[in-house]
This record gives sequence, structure tokens and C-alpha cells, in this order.
Amino acid sequence: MSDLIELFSVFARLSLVAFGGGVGILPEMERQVVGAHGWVTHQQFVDAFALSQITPGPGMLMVAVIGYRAAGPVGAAVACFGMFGPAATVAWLAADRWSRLGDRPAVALVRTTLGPVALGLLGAGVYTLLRLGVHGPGTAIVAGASLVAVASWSRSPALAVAFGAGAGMLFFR
Amino acid sequence: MNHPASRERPSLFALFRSFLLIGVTTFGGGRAAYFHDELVIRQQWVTDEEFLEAVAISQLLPGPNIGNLSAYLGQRLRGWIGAIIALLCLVVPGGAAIVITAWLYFQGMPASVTTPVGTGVAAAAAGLAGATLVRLRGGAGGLPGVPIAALAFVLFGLLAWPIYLVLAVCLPPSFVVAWVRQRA
Repeated sequence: MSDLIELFSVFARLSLVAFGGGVGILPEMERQVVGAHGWVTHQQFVDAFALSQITPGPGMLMVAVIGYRAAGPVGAAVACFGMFGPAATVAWLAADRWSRLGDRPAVALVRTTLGPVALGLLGAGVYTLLRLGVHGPGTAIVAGASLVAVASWSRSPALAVAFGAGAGMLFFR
Repeated sequence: MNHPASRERPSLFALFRSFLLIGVTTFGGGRAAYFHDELVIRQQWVTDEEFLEAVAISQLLPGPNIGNLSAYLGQRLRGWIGAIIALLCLVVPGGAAIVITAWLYFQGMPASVTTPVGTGVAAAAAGLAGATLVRLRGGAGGLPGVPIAALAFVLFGLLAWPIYLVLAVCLPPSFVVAWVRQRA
């Protein structure tokens, strides 16, 4: 039981200092789960991240692997709840307050203000993904094909990624 | 760009179906692409501008970005129950999948068997994220928004500034541009 409380509180605290996304807290997460609590080894931590990349859903579901190792399936659920629950509650509250303001001009002004900045932030995300995911002609072709298929031919994102997985199995051994 | 007037409130079941689809099909980064494809392009429940607003706010708030994005969009579409459905649909299928994978892993399956697939998925996800950027380019608000988007990109992507500093620098000029546009 105390393990479960500890799992929840470690991941809840980590999530509430994760500004700008989950990747930024990985070093601190490793200090907590490998160093302070010893739930997983360094290698298992790295592998947990790798596993999260080939299963659906948010990358931060990697905490399920750590929770599972620490306290079984219940530990996995508690770790996910700690990582997603409190932060999503904050997001829900923000959306609720914001939607109460309705469609007055000030709201439209804020929206127009956020647009270009959000686009730049998304662009930064693309850059990170390109740096991590493209290293050679093969991966560049997969990335380019995926871009064209979705942006120009309106293929679904899932199809593009399934294609990438298939290409990986065949050619990236 | 679609207009708010054309949009309707989805039923809870439709919301459930769409977020479940997103939850079971998002792989390997660039995950905002799936939300945009399903909610803005296919269902047209959310406009490009509202989507960018949601992206900005979910980055600004602490926590995993797409968890925040789900709760935020779920709330905007169907209130608190919408937020809960959206978040659960995003997290539960993948959570179950990763627990099964974790079980196999701790039974001795080497994580490296997933490497070729992971490599392909990561490359496709990078292209996918690029496609979302292309689709959302209208959200920059025309030519005056482009340098602001570029500035945010350089500060956050190339120089790796903390999100709050990036916003502190980029929001004032963006506000001026938006204000001038609204007056015009």
C-alpha cells in the first residue's frame, strides 16, 4: 500500500513540474525511480521509454512499466493515474474557466495571439522528432512519404505510421 | 479554415468513438496530428484556431501535453464528462498495451526486438508532425504571424529555452499583431 502511495505521489509531483511536455522531466524521473526508489534499473528505464514508443497512446505511459515493476498491474494503473490525473484536472479547470468567457472579442484576440506562437512551438516539436527519427536516406524517405501522404493526400496519420512500422520491419534491421 | 458557426456539439458516444480511435492509433511522437486529423479535419468539431489555442494552453500547463490536450478538448466539446471520457480513451488502451508489453519484457523479451519497428515509426511520426504543421499553416494569421512563429520555433526548438521564457518573448509582439488585425 505504501508503495502505491509513493508511486502516485512521485509521478503526480513530476507531472506538475513538467512544463512544456513530458520529455523535459525524464532526467528527474530517472533520478527518482532509479536512484531514490530503485524501482527499475537504468537499462530498464531506457527500455521503458523504448516500449512506450511502439505501444499506442502518450509517451508518458512509460510510467506504467515502472509502476508494473514496482507493484504489479495495480502499480501500473496508479503510476498512470499519478502522471495524468492531476495535470488533466488542471487542464480541465483551465478549459472550463476559459469556455465560460464565451466568444467575446477579447477571447478572439487571445486566440489570434496564441495562433502563431503555438505554430512555432509545434514546429519545434517537428524539429525534435526529425532529429531523433531521421538519420540516413531510408528514414528520410519514410518521413517524406508520411508527410506527403498526410498533408497532400489526406491519408490518416495511423496509416502513415503503420507504413513506417512496416518499412522498419523490412528495411531497418 | 472552417468557421465556428459550422460546428456542432458531438454526442457523448461520438466523442467516445473519436477519442478511442485517437487513443488506439497514436504511435511514436507527433501525436497532436491525430487530434487535428480526427477532430478538426474529419469531424469538424473544432476549428484550426481553436485547436492551436488548445495546443498552446496544454503546453503552457504542467503535465504530459497530449493528456492535457485531451482533457482540454474533451471539456470544450462536452464539459467535465467529455474531459473524463477523452482522457480515459487516450490512456486506457495504450496503458493496457504497455502493461502487456512490460510483462513480456520482464519475462525476458529483449527490448531490442522492437528496434526496427521503432525506427520506422519514429521516422513516419516526424513526417506526420510536419504534415500537421503544413495543414495548420493558416493559423499563423497571415504574413505578419510568420516571423512570430519563426521566433517561437528558434527559441524553443533550436535554443531550447524554457517554455515560459519563450512565451514571455513571443506573446507581446503576437498580441500587437493580433490587435492590429482585429482593428483592421
